[in-house]
This record gives sequence, structure tokens and C-alpha cells, in this order.
Amino acid sequence: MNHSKPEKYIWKKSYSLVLIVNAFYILLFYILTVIFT
Amino acid sequence: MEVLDWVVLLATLSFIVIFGAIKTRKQDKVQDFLKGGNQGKWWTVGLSVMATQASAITFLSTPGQAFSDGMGFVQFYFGLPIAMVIICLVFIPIYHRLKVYTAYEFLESRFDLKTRTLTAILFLIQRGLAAGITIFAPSIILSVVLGWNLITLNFIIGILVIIYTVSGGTKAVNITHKQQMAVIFIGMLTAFFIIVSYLPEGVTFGKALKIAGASGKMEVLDFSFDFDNRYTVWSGLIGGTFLALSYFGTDQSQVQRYLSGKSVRQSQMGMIFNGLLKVPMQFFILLTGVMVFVFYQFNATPLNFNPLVEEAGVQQEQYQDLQRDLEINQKKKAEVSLAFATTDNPAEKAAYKEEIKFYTQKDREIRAAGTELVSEMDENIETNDKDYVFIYFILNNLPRGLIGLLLAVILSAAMSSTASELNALASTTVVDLYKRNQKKERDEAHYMKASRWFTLMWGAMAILVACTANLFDNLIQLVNIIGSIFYGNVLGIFLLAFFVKYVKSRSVFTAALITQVLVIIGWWFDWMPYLWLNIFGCALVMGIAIILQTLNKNNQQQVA
Repeated sequence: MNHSKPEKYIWKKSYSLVLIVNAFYILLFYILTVIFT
Repeated sequence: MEVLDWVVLLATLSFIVIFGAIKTRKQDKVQDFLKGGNQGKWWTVGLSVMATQASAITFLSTPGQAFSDGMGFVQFYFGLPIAMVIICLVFIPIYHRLKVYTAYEFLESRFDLKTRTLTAILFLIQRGLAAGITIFAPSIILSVVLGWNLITLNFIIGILVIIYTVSGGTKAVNITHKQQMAVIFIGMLTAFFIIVSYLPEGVTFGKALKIAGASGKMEVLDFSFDFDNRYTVWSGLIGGTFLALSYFGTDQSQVQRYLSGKSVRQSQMGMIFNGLLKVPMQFFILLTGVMVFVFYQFNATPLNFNPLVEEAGVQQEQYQDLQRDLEINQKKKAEVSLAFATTDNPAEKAAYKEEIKFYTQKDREIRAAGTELVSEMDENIETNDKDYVFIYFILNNLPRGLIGLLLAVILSAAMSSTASELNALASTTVVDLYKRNQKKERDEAHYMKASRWFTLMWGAMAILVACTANLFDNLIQLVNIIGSIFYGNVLGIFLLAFFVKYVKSRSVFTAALITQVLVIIGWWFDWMPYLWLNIFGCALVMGIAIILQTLNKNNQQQVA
């Protein structure tokens, strides 16, 4: 394997899904914090 | 513990061990033993990664953490999904393309043998000690609350794990992880619903959350930039990504789990599965702790959940006075909490909320006074009782049979993490040190035998560390310190390998040695809290390697 060549990274839709869901969790926790405190 | 609990506990654990050992015993290829024959489907990889991270302490400590400090700990996991994406994007395709058995093998292909050997040894030191603590930590708690012998418990957990990891290697670890996770999910879900059903009439789940909120337990997010506050959104997103990247990307106990995937896609999907489920899973475990807190708003608790502290304390008259104060305070708190939950009048609600705050604060003060009293009597006694809250609740409140199931959850979690650790320690020893340094090529049978012997050796070592851990006051902290001393450096080496193609082997190896010395000096002279050594080590090795490479290049150009 030639390590001096730059790697090609392939972005998949599932990665975006993970990041969006993570942001959604944070939003949900924000709502919970506001409602219950 | 009743007979039914023993039956449930023994049947669950023996089934897992016997099934794991029998199902995978016929293996004669190293690839099968160390990489599970690359047969893992995404759900196997995903559950195995999850089971490796979830140790017994996760299920003992996390509910106690929520009971004491609320839901804020979940922020620590916000960086994990980001790290999962980076691992899927960068780490997994390269590891699979190179068909490596260990993460450190990749470093030889990218740099040289020296760098590979150095990182493998750093891993063996750190993980070898951690494997002992993975056994010791639940053993010490269970031995205190159940009165079981500590050494016997260490041996039971260790030997059960050794049986199937020596017999079936990675395949056995993966198979048993699925069953262990099933036991964990069933046990925790059942416990959660039972706790909610134990709440007084009129206190629904929603009202229970409001009571928890009034006591300050529902402050999930903290957006402050306070460095003294360990869990904030920012420390979770930045520090959490960093820590998860080092753990999942460079620690062989995790790398081995996704290397057993059938294809790049299956490994990636397993990690995506974790990226999606880990945060809600931790949230749920914390929520269980919050429900235990609400339950104890209406029920009596000891002054300290650690039975050893209670035993030491009750001999003092002052401690007995505090117990009485706590009892009176708890009765008032229960009355006010019930009134808060059942009224619909906003003005009354606000007034009761203030009262709940007052009694919660008073509760905290009485407990702190009790702790201080016992600490004055015996400096060595562990007065922090967070780890004992959930097990106290289980043993004193759950119905027959379910206590056995919850103990099976805790022991399954201890076994699942230990199994991955032994499996990874053996793989690294065989692949990176033993096989790599053999002068003549040996046959498959030889390396299979060596893998089994090294698994057994590391298992025995873990039991030995667990049995001697009690001799050291702060061994768990010591292991975390050792981890922080090495982790940053190793992650820095991997980041250079993946992202900074410009840097070559000589610069990295020299930088790694200098960094390791500087990190040890930094720790010795207490330059910073030890958790920051992770980031310090990583930044330092990357910075020094880039500078050395630039200097080398300039020198070479001048000579030319």
C-alpha cells in the first residue's frame, strides 16, 4: 500500500444521519431541561 | 438472595459460558481465533462494540451518578457519534484494506517496526492493568453488599471468561456478547418499569420527572465554559470526541471487534449502530438512576449506601442522631413531593417546588455530615457511596428472581468487557510481538496454540491484578492515570499516520519517545489534571514530529 498518496474518503448518507440524530438528541435534551427545571 | 435468584443467576451465566465455549470450540485457524473468521454481521459487530464498552461499573455507577448529580453525565457521550463517523470514514477502510489483525500492525506498514512495537507495548501495559480492574471493580462492590469473598469472586469472573475466550477466541467473544447484551437489555428494562410501578399512587412517570426536575436532577445540558465543571456540552463534544476516537480507533480491545466484520460495510454499519444507540442507552441508564432517586423521595434510605460506612457509623451516637434527622427530613420530603405531584394549582406547585429544593439540600447536608463523621473515624473507608445506590435498591426492593437477573446483568457486563480485553491482549502479544519476532515461519497450529496460551496467561494476570488491587488505595485512579499518560501519545501517532503523510517514521518514533518522557515529567510535577494529559500527549507528539520532519527535510535539501 502506498501511504504517500492521499487517501480517498467516501462520505455516506448514514454518516450524515448519525450526526443529524446526535444533534436531534441534544435538542431533545435541551427541551427536557427547559420543561423539567 | 433467595433460591430462585441463585437459579436465575447461575442458569444465565452457565448458559452463556457453556454455549460460547461449545459453539466455537472447533477452531484451527489463527484468522478464525483472532478475527472470528471475518464472519461478523453488522449487528454482531455493533453489539460486541457496545458490550465491550459497557462494563459492570456502567450498570453499578451510572444510576448512582444520576441519583447523586442528575442527568448531566450523558453529555460525556455527545462526542461518541462524531468519533464513530471518523472511524467509519478513515480507520475502518484502511484497516480492512491492509487486512491487519491489530491496529498496531498498520503502524509498521505506515512507519516502521519500532513504532509498531512501541505502541503495542504501551497498549499491553495499560490494558493489562485495566483488565484486572474490570474484574476487581464489581467484585469489591458485590463482596461488600452480599458478603461474598472478594478473592473467590475475582476467580469466578476471571475463570468463567477464560473458559470461553481460550476455547473460542474472537468468535466466542462475539457470540457471548450478543447473549450478554440481551441479558443486560432485558434486566435493565424490567428494573426500570418495576421502579416506575413502585411509585406512590397518583405519581405517574411524567410527575416523577417533574419531582426529579424540582430536585435539580433533570438539568441534562450545561452550556457553560467552566473548566472546573467536568460535564458540559462543550467538554462532551470536544473532549468526548477525542477520548472516543482514541478508545474506538486505537485500542485493540475495540478495534478487534470491528475487524471481525464480514466486510468494510458490515463493520461500518456496526459502528453506525453504536453512534445511533449509545447516547439513548446511556440516557436510559441515567434515567433509571433518576427514577431510583424519585422512589427514595417516598421511601427511607440509609445515611450512606455503603454498608461498611453504615456499620462504622452506627457505633457513634452522633451518627445515630443524623440518621434520625434524615428520617424526619425524608418524611417531610415525601409529603411535599406527593403534594407537588398531585396539585394542579400553579402557585401551590411553585411553593412546593421551593420546599422540595429546601429538603433536598438538607438531605445532602445531613448525608455530608455523616460522611465526614465516618471519615474522621477511619480515613481509609470509602465514603463515596454512588456505586452502592443501585445495588442497594436492587437487593432491598426487587422481587425474587429479578435480583438474580440484575446480578446476572452486572456479572455479564463484567465478563463482556474482560473477554474483549483478554482477546485483544492475546492478539497483540501473538501478532505484534511473538509472531513478528520469530526468526523462522511456524505453522498455523503453532500460532493457534500460542494464541490460546497467551489468552490464558493474560487471564491469569488479570485475576492476579484483581486480587492485589485491594492493597492499593487508589488503584482505579492509578489505572486511569496510566491510561492518560499513554493514550494521548498513541492517538497522536495514529493521527499522524492517517492524516499527515508528510511525516515519516524516524520523526514519529523520536517524537513519541520525547513526548512520552515529557508527559511522564508533566504528570510527575503535576502540570495539569491528569485527564488533560491525553490532549497534551496527542498535541505534543504531532507537533514535535512535524517540526522534526521539517528540520530533516531542510537539512537534506541543504546537503543536496
